[in-house]
Amino acid sequence: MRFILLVLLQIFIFNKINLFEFVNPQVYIIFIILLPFNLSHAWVMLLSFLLGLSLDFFDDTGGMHAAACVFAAYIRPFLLRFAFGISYELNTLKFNQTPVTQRLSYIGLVILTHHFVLYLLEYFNLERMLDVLEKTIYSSILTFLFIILITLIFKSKKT
Amino acid sequence: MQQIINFLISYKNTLLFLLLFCISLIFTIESHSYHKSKFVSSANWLTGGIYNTLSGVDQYFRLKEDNKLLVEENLVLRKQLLEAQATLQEKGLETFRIADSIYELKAGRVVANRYSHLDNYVLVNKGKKDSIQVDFGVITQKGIVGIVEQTAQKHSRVISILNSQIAVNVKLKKSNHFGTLTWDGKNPQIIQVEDIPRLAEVKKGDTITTEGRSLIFPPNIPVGKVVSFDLEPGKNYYTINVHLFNDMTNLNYVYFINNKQKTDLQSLE
Repeated sequence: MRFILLVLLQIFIFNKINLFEFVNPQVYIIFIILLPFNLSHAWVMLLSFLLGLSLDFFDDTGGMHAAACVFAAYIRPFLLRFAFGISYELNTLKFNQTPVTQRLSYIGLVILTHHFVLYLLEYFNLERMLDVLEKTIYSSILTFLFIILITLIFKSKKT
Repeated sequence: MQQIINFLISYKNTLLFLLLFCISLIFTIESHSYHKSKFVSSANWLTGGIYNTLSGVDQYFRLKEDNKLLVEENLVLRKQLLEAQATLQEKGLETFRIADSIYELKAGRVVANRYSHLDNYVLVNKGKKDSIQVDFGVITQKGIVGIVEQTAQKHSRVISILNSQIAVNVKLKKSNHFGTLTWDGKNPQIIQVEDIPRLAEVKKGDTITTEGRSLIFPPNIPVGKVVSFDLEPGKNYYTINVHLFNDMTNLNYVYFINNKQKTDLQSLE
C-alpha cells in the first residue's frame, strides 16, 4: 500500500518539481530506508527492485531506477552497521528511538549511494562525471530535506 | 555437490543482488540504444492510462491559456490562407485541394512530459488505433517537439528533442547551410546545432528551421533563434546555441506529421 502511494506521489508531485530545471528529489527511496530492519536481505532487494522498476515504467528511464534501488538495498545492511553500530547487530533497533545524528547519517548515506548510481547510469559516460556529481549533490540535498520532513510528520502523528 | 550448495546458500544475497542488478543494467543499456523495441516504456495501457486520467485534471487549469494559443494560431493561419488565395488568383488558379497535400496531420495531447533527464521522452495520447506510426514527426504551432519512437494501442512515446540520442537535420533559414540538432542535457530552453560549416555567416538572432531532407519533418518548420555561437580555431564547424521557440517544459497539444511520400521515397533509396 505504501508502495503504490509512494510511486504515485513520486510521479505526480516530486517529478514535477524540477528545481532549476534539473534538480528532482527522488523521495520514493524513503521506502527502502524505512523497510523493517529485521526483514530479510533478499526481500529488501526484491521489493526495492520492484519499486525501482515501476518508477522506470513511468519515467521511461529503462532500468536506472531499478539498478540504483537494488544497489542501495544491497548495501543497506552495511550502511546500517556503519551508522548504528552495535545496536543494529543486536537486532534491537527501532528507527524512531535511535540518536538523531546516527539516523541522519544513515538516511544521507542511502540517498547518496542511490542518487550516485542513478545519475551515473543516466549519463552513462565517464567524461561527464562532473555533471553526474553535480546532479547527485543537488538532488541529494533536496531529497534529504523532503525525507526528513516526512519522517518528522509521521513521527509526530504516532506519539 | 554439497559444497556448491553451501556456497550458493551462503552467498544467496549477493547472487540475488547480481541477478537483479544485471536485469536492471540490461534495461538501462537497452534504453541507451536508439530504435530498439523497448520493454520498459510508459506507453503501455497501465501507465499510459494513469497518466491520461491525471493529466485530465491538469487540463482544466490550462483551458484559458490553451484558448489564447488557439486563437493566435488561427489568426496566423487565416493570414496565410488569405495570402495563398491571393497568389493563387494572380496565377489564374481557382482553389487548391487539401487532399493533394503530401503531408497528413493528426492532433494529440501530451499526457506526460519530462525534461530533467538526459534522455527525455514525451507521452502522447494517440497510438496505433489512431494510425500513428513510428518515425512520424511531432510539432506544435511554435516549433518542433520530437519524433515518434514507439507506439502502443492508445499511446505513443515520442523521443523529445531534449534527448541525447536524437539528431534532426536543421538549417540556417537565411543561407540554407545545414547542420545537426543535438542536446547537451543542461538547459531545456537551449539546444545545440553542430556541423554548420565556417563559411556560413552566423549572427545572433538568426532563425534555425528544419531542413526536410530526412522526410520526417517538412522543411521550414521553425526550431529556434541563435543566442550564441562558437567557432574554435582549427575547427571547420560552428557550435551554436539555439533558444527554442517551443517551451519544452510546457507542452499540451501537439501535431503528428506524416509525409505520405515517405514510403515511396524510401523504397527508391
